[in-house]
Amino acid sequence: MLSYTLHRIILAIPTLLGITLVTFFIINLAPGDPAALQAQEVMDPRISNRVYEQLREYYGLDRPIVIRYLEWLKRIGTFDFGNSMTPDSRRVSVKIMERLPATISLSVLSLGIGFALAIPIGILSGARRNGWFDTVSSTILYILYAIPSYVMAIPLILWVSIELDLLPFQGMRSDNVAQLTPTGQIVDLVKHFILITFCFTYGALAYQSRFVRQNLLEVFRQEYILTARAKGLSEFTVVLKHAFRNTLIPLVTLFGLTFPQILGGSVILEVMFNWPGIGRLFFESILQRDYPTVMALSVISAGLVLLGTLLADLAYAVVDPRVRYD
Amino acid sequence: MRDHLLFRTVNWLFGNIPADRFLRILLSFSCFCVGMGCGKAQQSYDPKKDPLVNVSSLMEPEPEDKSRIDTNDTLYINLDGSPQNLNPIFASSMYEFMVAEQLFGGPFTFDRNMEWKTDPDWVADYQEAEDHLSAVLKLKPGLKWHDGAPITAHDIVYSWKAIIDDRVPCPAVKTGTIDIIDCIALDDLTVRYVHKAAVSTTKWNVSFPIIPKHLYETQQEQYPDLKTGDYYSQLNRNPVGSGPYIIEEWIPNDRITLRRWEEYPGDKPNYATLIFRLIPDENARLLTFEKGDLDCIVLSGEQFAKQTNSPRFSQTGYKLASPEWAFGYIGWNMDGSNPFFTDRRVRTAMAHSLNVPLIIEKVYYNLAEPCLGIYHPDSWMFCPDIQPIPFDLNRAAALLDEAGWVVDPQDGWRYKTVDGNRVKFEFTLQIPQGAAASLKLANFFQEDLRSIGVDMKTRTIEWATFMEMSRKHEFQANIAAWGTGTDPDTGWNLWRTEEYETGRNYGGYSNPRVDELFELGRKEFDFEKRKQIYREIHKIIYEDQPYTFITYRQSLYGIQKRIHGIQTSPRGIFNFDPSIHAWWTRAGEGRQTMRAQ
Repeated sequence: MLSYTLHRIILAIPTLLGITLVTFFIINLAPGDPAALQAQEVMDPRISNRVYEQLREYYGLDRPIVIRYLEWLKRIGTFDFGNSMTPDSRRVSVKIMERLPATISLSVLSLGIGFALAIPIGILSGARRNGWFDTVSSTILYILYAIPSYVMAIPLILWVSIELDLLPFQGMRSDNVAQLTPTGQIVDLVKHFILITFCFTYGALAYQSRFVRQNLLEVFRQEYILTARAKGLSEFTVVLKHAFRNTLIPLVTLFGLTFPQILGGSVILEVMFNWPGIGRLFFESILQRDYPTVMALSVISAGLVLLGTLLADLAYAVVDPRVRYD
Repeated sequence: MRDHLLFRTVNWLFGNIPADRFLRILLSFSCFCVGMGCGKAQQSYDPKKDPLVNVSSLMEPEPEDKSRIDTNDTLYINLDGSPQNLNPIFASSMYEFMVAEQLFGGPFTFDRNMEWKTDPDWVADYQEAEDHLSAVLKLKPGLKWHDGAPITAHDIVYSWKAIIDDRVPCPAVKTGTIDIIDCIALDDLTVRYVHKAAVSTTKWNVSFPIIPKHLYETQQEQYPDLKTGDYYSQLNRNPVGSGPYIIEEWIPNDRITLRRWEEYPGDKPNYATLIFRLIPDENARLLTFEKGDLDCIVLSGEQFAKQTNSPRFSQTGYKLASPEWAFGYIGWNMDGSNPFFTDRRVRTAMAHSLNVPLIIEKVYYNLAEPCLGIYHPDSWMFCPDIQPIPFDLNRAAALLDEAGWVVDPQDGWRYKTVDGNRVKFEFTLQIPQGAAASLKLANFFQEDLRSIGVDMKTRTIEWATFMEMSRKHEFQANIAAWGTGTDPDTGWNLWRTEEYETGRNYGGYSNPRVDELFELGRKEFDFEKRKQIYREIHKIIYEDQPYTFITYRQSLYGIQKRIHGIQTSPRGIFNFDPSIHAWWTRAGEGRQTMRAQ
């Protein structure tokens, strides 16, 4: 197991390098650069090419791209993501850290709720195939799955937040949060989470519960289920102990693939709910040609993808006794 | 309510689709939408008939008797993007200017008419030398930074040195300031500015922002850019300023809270707290405003005309439309890289083909005025003698015939033989991404051009790429806009021949008389003579038609009813003296409680 893990980690290094190389060249070769954007930002036409050249020099953009990539690699070796190339020039790590709480809390919550609901829904509808629960839940979930979350967000905001005035829809805190009691502050925070978490979760929930159901049905066709039933085991034991355990393998794969989304965020939902998440930072960084931030976020998400698949592979061994990595 | 909800949902989703096309989609998909949308969309909007627009109560000036004013009120202003930095020397976008100007004062400012002036709170005396090559400023004694340290002539000299330092990346304030060749502290309160040349714009050059020397010089050796490193990073986000407000809190991506500085030596603003809330989505912004959680928002044309007529809006707010000295244009590339637009007749024909009245109605909801050249009719540079070029497809066709672009009866397109090759009149208009109005406008233009045998294609390009292609002159035609500088001399970089290489004369416009006039305008100190110079520039450029001028735009706002004292300027309601500082709320009408949103 240990040597397998080490082997995988060593293999991940060239993969990660390849990803950074491609990303670095793509973003740097895209037309426009941060210096040009900043020199054009103000509508004042007096700003000249001289200022532009100075900015290029300041950001080191006047040097060949290969050298810049090597320098970037050297810095990344010490986990230094450098300074942002936007007018604030702050450390990229600080800018990312600032956005992490909003993004991670939302995605962990959403993933957690998603799986926590998807598994029982999937099992219930799989166990009583075409029963009333299966039909009703399938219909509702299919409808939800078909509605993009940003479309769903609009009537939700208009109805729940505006017409009924029940829940807030902007940001993570209310104006009067400082005057609230600690409990009041927690309630306020929870209220801010509800709508956006719902929008973040329901699509995946639909997908995941259908996934669980489908796998369960697959397993039900196996002969050992027939055997278990023939032995006179209770339906509960058959479904949970014999069938469900065997649906865990594809579920673990799914979880491994979903894992990198922890840092993904969603640009559209974050803008609509004014959520200070990573998605918007990534999007804005691309528009501003903020190379260091784009690179840092790409490396992190590539790393998470590799980590997610590795964790999923290791988890196979836990859920499936037939899998051994020796 | 269901209809209402649906209508708004659809508006939010399809806000950028032209109303008529959108209606067609809507009609074909759902019949129950017919009742609610049809009538509204086809009626054209007239701001003059809208009872909520430019209501006099908004402009009611601040009373002499301060007891009539609620001086404990909080003002919520929306920002749709985040400032990056609050050090005024690094300010580069509207957002930074808006916040930084509350935190930092200075000896010089300008009023709503873009007239340069000294700030009486700061300046004891300001004298320009007879030869216009130098000026001496005397500060009032007793001026302080927010931390209590005195503001002196050394701060001004230090700021000047920082701005002109090549290692300090501050593009927006560098230009102009680098034309001061020396800045000397004669004593603690006296500064002498020495100018490179005796030109009429030197007074604008001395208006650079002032930062506190005692705080910025401490780590300069280590971080000469005054930006990187934890110390400067912190300082630039929590600056120690000199203006009427102090920064209290900056919650990234959420809000910036400023508190009135009670020790401010000049006239104190009326609002005790100023909160800039960051809300990027325009629909969320309007909804937040309707709930009363924002006092001032920027409205889109569509919101102004069509989405603010609900009781919900009219209960809380009024609308303000104020003409800006900013214009939209289609720029023609005249550098010879295409066979079409070097010919003035062709460019004039293009102007005749743009149906501006229709565009104003359909695209801008009657919230824009036809553009008559590079200067605004309200400005002193505007030349009243110009002959406006009307929408007239017959004259456009005649001009194209005259220029040799003749219709081929076989396919209906125009052709001309250039250097032995038969060339079709076919070009591409580049449009920056996200400019929904430009895209709609281009559709109308395309139709009209097609009817006279000109084939225009459109191409939408992401902003950074769009700018890069403009800078490299890689376009045939593009659509963009210019705002106004404080002085017409700022047009130097747009219109002079040599600015094709280094400036923003992207299309390669060249007229020796215009080159000469800009030189003369810079050197002239007599206002009347200067006026004649810029009027001539205005007339020549209008006749040359390097751009097809589209419209002057208006700034559009939604403002809560309790706010008074608003003044407008050629750049909107912010960024001049006094702007927000003259706004006020009647005693007893302030925000009683801050509702949780």
